[in-house]
Amino acid sequence: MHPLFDPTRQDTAETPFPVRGGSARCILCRGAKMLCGKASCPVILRYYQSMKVAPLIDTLELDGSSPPSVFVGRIGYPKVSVGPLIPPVHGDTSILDTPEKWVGKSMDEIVAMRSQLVRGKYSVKVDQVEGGGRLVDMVRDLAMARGPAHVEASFLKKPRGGLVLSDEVQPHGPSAPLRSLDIGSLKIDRRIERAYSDTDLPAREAVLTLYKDDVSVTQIQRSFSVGAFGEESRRRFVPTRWSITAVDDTISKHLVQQVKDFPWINEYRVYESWSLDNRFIVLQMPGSWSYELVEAWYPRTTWNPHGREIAIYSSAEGYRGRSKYAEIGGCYYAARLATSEHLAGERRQATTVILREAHPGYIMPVGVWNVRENVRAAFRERPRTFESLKTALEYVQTRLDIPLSTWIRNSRVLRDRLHQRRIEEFTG
Amino acid sequence: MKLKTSQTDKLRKIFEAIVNLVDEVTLKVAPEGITIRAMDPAHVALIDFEMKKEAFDEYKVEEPLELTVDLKTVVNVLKRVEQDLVIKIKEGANALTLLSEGTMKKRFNIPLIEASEENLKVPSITFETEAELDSALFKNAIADTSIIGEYVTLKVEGDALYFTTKAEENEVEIRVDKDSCISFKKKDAKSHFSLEYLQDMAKIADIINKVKISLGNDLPLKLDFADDYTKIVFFLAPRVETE
Repeated sequence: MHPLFDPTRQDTAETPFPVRGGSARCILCRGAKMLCGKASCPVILRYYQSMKVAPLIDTLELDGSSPPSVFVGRIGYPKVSVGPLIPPVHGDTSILDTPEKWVGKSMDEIVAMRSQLVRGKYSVKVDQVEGGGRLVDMVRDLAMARGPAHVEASFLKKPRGGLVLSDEVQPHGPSAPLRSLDIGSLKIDRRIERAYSDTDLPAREAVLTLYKDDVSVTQIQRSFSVGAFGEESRRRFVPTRWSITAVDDTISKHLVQQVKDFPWINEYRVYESWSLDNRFIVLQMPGSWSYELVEAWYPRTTWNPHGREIAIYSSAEGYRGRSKYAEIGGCYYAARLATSEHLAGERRQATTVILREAHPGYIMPVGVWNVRENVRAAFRERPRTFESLKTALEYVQTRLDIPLSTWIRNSRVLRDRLHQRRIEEFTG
Repeated sequence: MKLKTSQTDKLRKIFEAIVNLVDEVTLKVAPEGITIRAMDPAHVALIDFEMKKEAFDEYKVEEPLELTVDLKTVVNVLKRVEQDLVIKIKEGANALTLLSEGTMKKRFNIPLIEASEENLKVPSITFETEAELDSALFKNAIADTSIIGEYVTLKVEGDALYFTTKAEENEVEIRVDKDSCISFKKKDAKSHFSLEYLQDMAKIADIINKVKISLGNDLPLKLDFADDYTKIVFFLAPRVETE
């Protein structure tokens, strides 16, 4: 056996890559669960403090072209803040809320794009999707718009805060409570409108229909968050962060069902995408559907701020899927969408392991789109193909810094692959 | 074709034990009885099931048939029917009809689906280690080891059969002595297996009270559950930690 594959191999002093130590708490929390017991996430706070909180918008009135974009908060649920994201500029701003086009952009570019989006807030009960008043109706229509729309907002207070960060949602700029809102003429996407006006169509069906009609995942998520889908009495505002994962999960579950009927790929494949100092390696193997995302966080990266060691965590599913929410959060579902989408597209089935190295240049969370779009980008390139797992893994090792033995120790799917025998090996 | 049985519970439990392993099954109906052979999608487990015609109250089969159905649907239907069950082919339609006649007359039609053409071979192994025991003991040992880990080591050493699991700091060892077994063919052997599969297979202990465990070194495990007219054999491929 090649020493690299030896699961019992001890890491040497030159390759100090212990795992599952250090800042487990941050990786499993990512600013969302308050596991450290503090009222707000110190990691995220640190970024805020380091950033200039120059008030971009020193005014109570703002008009600009919304990409379109809306935000539904989660604080106070079931009473939440809804409202538009508005940049102080006019014109075609659609790129500002189209993560599908962001792979390749630098951290600075992403910050520059997103920090100018001012969030208007209006408090509403989640079930007041209809009859919540004119302002709520406008926010909903904006979410379903086909392109940028002219928005005039008047605030009760001046917008405050700098860049708002979250692991799941793309960052946005300062926010302020809305006094009133005016939206110029907007064209609602016909496909979305059809799902919106069908008050008997379950939300799941609406999401799948729109996905099949080539509506982008971001657009579906945006409309989903304003309760545009589902049976009439069940429509709700859904906090943006939840709607992202709900849509990733719904679509990918459906695609995985399709993939299970397709023949296995017949070689080992390695795809990759590097961006924002993240390396994504996608390894596909002949076999029935199963999937894993393994993430390695270097010290001083977002979710390993205090550790002195690389921290590795993973979530996986076998052929039957999983019933509990993934330990590593929304990124698991985002990458599962990209993976199942690719396999369904080529009508093939495979076992997939995604290995992610988040290197020290990845200094702040930008949202799960980063994982979804990088895995999609990886699949757009031609893969390297190999005839055996051994040669595929040898190649993977040349693309990643962390030793293979460490990856294997932390990957359920790889361990299974290396150790679990199959019936036909014994049928002679 | 017409099959009538009063052992609906038994059929349901057998199907429940394999529903997590396979999505669809091809039921082969022959003049001697019904059989199923199936493999899980990961090719780790193989199931061989047989129910002789004597197990049925009425068994009328003119010609051999192969009926492929969605197993989950069958299990769900079996949960809804009374003890007496009649299985037929729906005339003129591509469906299996399940009838039960209690106070309510129930009729379920389950569509037949296209079989994935597979000729599954059973591992050809001559086992030199075998232990036959009360299936409840087996189920118990699997439950014990499952609280600790994901994998179990099955081992015959000297005059005992062992189930052991280690995970992080936890360890569990279950010993079944030769004297507690119904029969015991000893030759030291040891292999590792995934408990996820064994937990499903152990469910058969609820309906068949003996199991014969056949073991080798890094070889598949064979579990034979059998009573007078019913036989369920599982093969489970091992996990091999080093090579």
